[in-house]
Amino acid sequence: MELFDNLALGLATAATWQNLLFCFTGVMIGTLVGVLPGISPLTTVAMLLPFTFGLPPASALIMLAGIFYGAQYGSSTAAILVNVPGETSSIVTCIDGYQMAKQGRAGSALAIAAIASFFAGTVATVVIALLSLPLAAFALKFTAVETTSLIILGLLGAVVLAHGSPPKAIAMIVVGVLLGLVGVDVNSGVPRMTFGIADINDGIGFVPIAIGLFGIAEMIHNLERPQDRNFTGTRISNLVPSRADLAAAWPAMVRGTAVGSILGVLPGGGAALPPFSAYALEKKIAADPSRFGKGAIEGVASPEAANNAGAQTSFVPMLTLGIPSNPLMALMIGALMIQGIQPGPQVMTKQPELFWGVIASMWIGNLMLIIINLPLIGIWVSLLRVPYQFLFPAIVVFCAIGAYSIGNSLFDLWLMLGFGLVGYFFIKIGVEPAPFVLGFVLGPMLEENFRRAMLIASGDFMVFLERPISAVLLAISGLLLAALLVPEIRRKREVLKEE
Amino acid sequence: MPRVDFKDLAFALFLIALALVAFGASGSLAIGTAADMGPGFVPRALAWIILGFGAGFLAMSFVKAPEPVPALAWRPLVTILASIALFAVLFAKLGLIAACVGTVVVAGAATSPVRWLQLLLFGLVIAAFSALLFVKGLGLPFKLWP
Repeated sequence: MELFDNLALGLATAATWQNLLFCFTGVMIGTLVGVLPGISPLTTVAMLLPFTFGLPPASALIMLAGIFYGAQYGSSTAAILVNVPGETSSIVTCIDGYQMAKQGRAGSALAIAAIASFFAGTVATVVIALLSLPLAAFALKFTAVETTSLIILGLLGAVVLAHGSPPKAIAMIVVGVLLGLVGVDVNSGVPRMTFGIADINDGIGFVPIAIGLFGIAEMIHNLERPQDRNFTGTRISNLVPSRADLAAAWPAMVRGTAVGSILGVLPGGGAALPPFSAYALEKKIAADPSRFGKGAIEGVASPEAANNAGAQTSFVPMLTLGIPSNPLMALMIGALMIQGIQPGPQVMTKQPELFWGVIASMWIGNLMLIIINLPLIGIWVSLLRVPYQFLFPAIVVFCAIGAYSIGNSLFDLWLMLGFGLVGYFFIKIGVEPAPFVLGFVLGPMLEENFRRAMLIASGDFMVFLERPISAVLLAISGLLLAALLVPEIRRKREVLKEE
Repeated sequence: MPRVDFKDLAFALFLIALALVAFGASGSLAIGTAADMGPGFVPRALAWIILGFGAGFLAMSFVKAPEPVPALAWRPLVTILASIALFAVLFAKLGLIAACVGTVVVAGAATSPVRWLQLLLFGLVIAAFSALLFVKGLGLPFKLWP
């Protein structure tokens, strides 16, 4: 079967010593980042992106991917032990996980979280492998018209499924697209909106923007609030979960994996939405819902499975269609473009080792995490005691070095500073930066396809509705927008925002 | 003074300002037609859309019940941004080591109490670590000393 051939190719690529090392580095850094609150995998990937230039593309992606799902592992450790999630995706794990820790069942909770994540990671790898082939085959039939509609769907979907005010998010997408167009126009060779600054002839640097908006701005915001953590101080003696716990956790794991796999693929998806939904599902179908919030093992197993599955399946749109479903995927696309690879359905056919190598590496990474991390829990635990006071100056330095090293350009440093300020402004006025980033990354692609579509259609805008695939995509976009108005969904998004 | 929602107003002004800048910057670009778009077509269309959003939010800011104005914490904002600017200046003039130390010390001033000596030492540690990792390990062409 073609699938097995591809997976074999993937394993062969992923299992070279070099790539194993990069996978290991990625998941270790990821776990570290996940354990330490105040630094997110997004910032880390943005910081490390410049350093992946010299690496072969598969190694670069393998490492960066490892950071993402590794961070889910680390973050749940912090959530269970200290009630402080390293990531938004682990907020739900805090609820029952911390309770379990207080009851002396920390070891069980940590073990179940790790097992659930590994199970989910394995299943998700298979799901990705199964989904990608038909999806990419389908996408290869796209012309500029369908691609334009797909990008619009991707952008709108990200708005709807994320939290925050939709009109503001849509406005931010447009702003992002506009800024993405700054630079020399490919079609006409004319510089656009560059104000004569030679540094941005190739477009405003994406990485300094990402580091500034997500890293620097977040940091300034974090520093406004006192950083206090109450450590349980429980000795984690027994890492082997009881049979009762395992039996109860099993079905929850499976359900969580299903939820995560589905929600992760959707635009705006990723690691954050699935755990909330999985937890809500568990609570709804539980025989005794009152157990939740007091240390119900399902409340740990399901969200953990969901966030790991979601983190991995969120790679699907990016790897197969070239459409990022969240800002971290946008960074991955950035990494690919730096390597000179145009993301899209042809990546599968032209660079199969890259594609399947990354997918296979996800499974290997999950394996590393469960084998290596559980024994190392003690180290991660002691790291939790590192006060933020030491972390953040170091983070500033690394961000600065990262931003500079992209093009050995001081301009990029000032760009990062500027966007740090802008990002802080956005946080203060309640605007999410993610839609902006997605618009920024997809802007050039959107414009190019739009122009080409119009060229093909001789200026007839109706072509987007006349061609069937495009019409369907736009119809779904319309439905998503309409869904925003439905009160039930509005309430759910409010709840998400509150949490 | 009518009661306005600060957040919406701030966002509206940001959008309108951005749209105006975009109009100004793209004034010389050819628009072309829908079938044969010039470089200015999409940017100006976007600028119009942004202007529309800005106007919309401006109206909303007067209509909506105002939320409390978010508090601005000056200290972290100024110190962190200053530390980055310092890095840019120091790195160009004096190299990586000085830049690391300077940045750590200034950034550390974001929280109180400020332990200057501790920060200085930490800055040296970070400088050493960075020199080892980035210059020796990854081979990046940074100059370490002035």
